[in-house]
Order: sequence, then C-alpha cells, then structure tokens
Amino acid sequence: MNTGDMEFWEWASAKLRRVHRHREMTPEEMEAFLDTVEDEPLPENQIEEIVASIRAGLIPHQEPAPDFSWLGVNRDTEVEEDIYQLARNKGQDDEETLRRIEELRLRELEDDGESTDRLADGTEPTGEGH
Amino acid sequence: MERAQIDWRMEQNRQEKATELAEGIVQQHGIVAPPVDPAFLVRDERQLRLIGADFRDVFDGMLEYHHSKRRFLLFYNTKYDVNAGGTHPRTRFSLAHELGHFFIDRHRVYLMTGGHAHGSRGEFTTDSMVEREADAFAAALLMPKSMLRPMVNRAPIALSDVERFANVFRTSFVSTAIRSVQLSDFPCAVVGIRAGQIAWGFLSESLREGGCYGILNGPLQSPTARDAWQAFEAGRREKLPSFTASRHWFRTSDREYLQDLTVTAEFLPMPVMHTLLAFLTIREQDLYPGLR
Repeated sequence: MNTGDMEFWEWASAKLRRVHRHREMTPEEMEAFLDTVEDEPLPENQIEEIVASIRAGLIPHQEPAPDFSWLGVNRDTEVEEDIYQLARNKGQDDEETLRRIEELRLRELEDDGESTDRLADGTEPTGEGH
Repeated sequence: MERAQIDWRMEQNRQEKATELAEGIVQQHGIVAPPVDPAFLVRDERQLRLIGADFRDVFDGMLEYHHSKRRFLLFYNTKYDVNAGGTHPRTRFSLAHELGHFFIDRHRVYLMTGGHAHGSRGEFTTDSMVEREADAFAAALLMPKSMLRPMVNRAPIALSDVERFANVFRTSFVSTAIRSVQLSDFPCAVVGIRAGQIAWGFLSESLREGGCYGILNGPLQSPTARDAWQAFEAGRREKLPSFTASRHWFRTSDREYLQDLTVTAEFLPMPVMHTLLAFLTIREQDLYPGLR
C-alpha cells in the first residue's frame, strides 16, 4: 500500500468505525462506502508533472523537496563564531557544570576517531528494546 | 485569512511534517515495537556525538554545531535517571527532542549557518515554533503512530489506559496523554490547568468533527474542576474523577445539544509541572446522536 492509500485508510477507518461501530466491514460494504466518496481533482502542478514524466517515458514519481524558503538569504558567509546551539529547558547556569560541559566538549572534539556515544563516566548508554 | 490563522496553519503543517519525519526514521530502522531507543536510531550518524551527564539545572538537552570540526554535539541531562532505575522518560524525551533539531532540515541548517542560542521552558510549554516542532518530532519518535494508534483505538480510553501506554512506551504521562488524544478516533481531550486557569489543551479529531472545536482557555468554568484545582493547591494528590458539562470546557458549534453533553473528567495532579491534568471524554453516541 503506498503512502496515499495509507493516509486515505487512516482517514476513512475512523469514520467507518464510528458509523459501523466495532464490527468489521464486509468487502461489499467497503465497496459501497467507497462509491459514496467523491473524487478529488489533482492539483495542476501535479498533473503537469505526471504528464511530463509520461512524455519522457518515465514512471511518475513525486519527492517532496526540503523547504528552505524561511531562511531568506544564505547566511553561511556571515558565520563568525564557531559554536551554535539550541538548548531545551534552559535553566540556571552554574560554574562547576559549565566547566564540566567544556571538558566533555573538548574531549569529543579532540577525538577524531569513530563516533562512540557515551555517558560522562566513559560508559556507553545502555541499549533499550527496539 | 488573518495573519494569526496563517501562522497557526503554518505551524500545524510544520508539526505534521516533523511527525512524519520521525515516524519515517523509526520505520527505516525496522523498529516495530515499543519502547523506541533514540540513541539506537543515530548510532550510524558520524557527524553526531551524544553526551549524557548530570548537567544539574543548566538544561535538559542541548544540540550544538561546531563549524570548524563540522560536528554536532548533543548533550542530554541524565539527572532525572538517578532514582528512575534506568533512563527516565524525561531524559528520553529530551534526547528525542534534540534529535528533532538534528533531523529537521530547517533546524539543522539554522545551526549550521549561524543560529544563535536560545532557551525553552520544557515539554509542551514552549512559546517558540521551533521548539514545538522538535516536541512534535520527539513525541512521534518515541510513540510512533503505527504502534500507538491501534492501542488507543481498541476502545474509548481512560486515564488508566494512558498510564499503561506511558509504561509500555517509557514516555512521560503528559506527552503520552497528548499523543493518545491526537491519535484517538474517540471523542476525548487533555487539558493542562495552571494557576486555576486552563493553560493548554489538545482535542481528538472526533471531538472536533462532532462540533466541540476548541478548548475554553482562561478561568475554570467547571465547578468540579475548580474543586479539583483547590484540592491540588491544598496538596491533595488523589485522582478525582467526575462528571461535568461540555459547555464548561469546549467552544462548540451552534448545535444546542452540544452545550450540555456529559463530560467525564479525570484529574491527575502533576506537582513537578505545577499543573493539574484533566483527561476529558464524551460518549460517542452522545456527541453523534445519529449513532443511537
């Protein structure tokens, strides 16, 4: 099942379950329900892309492009400092902890070997069930 | 369309994209059962180092980019793990939240092109759109739709079910309650009460479709909720289930019967967050009279 179909069934299943309660639908009931769903036209740009793909002898394929429009201009040339941060639940700084962070930072940056994630005491974090 | 509406829609859209991104990452790694281990998901990311330690009250998590080394360092605070007998749900959420900043293109580019440090107040209480996006990513990473959705839709859920899900997914109660509501096909909502006022709330899609389209933010209108808040302030920590009316909680469309629907409210004190949590449910056949 492709993503579009999955999205449709996720949308439809809640409504189906609500109307038909907890009973499983028969294939005939599903068909009957599908007949009541109105077709939705594809957006113009998607139609154009499909037509262009077919004309070029390719299978139509859509890949969402990352949206960088919010950046406005590329600020790469303006970078002056070396470290940039995003912090969660920023609280009260204390000297001792800041020193510890700096030590850990230097240790990780000096190490050019393979990436090994670890706790501050040098042990690796315990794996959890997957 | 008004500016506020455009902003809201844009934010919703970004949160949805963040959610899809997180679920895609879990899927790519072939993880099909909870709990999801965020560290496992990035074990092959050579550009990223995870550093866990007790950072006291400095932060819960921090992601930084070192331009000259072209390396991300992700610090996460393990102070909550001391008495947790393992990794505390809050630690897992912080780690997943910071991974959101790493994986979401705009956040990563923000850091790589000179973003400046800024703080946030914590789980689902942040003002910044960027932080809420990372929260949405974290919730979806730890509680993927493919795993939680079937569980929350077996039958209408109650507070005890949310507690069970939180244990299975090893997630915090608040984030589990919010995610469960978002994925529920039944009419339910979760509301955070602070300082005697409704501070925030999340509604299930079914509740919106049925005509209860928003939470009544501001002073508590439900007498039982006011009683529950007073009990919370007095330090009583017991759970208090009760029946209230829909008009006390929801903004409703102009169908008259929507005003007086019976809402089952279960209250859970969250002293650490100075928050009283209310889990609200309406019987499906009450909200949708055509089903009777």
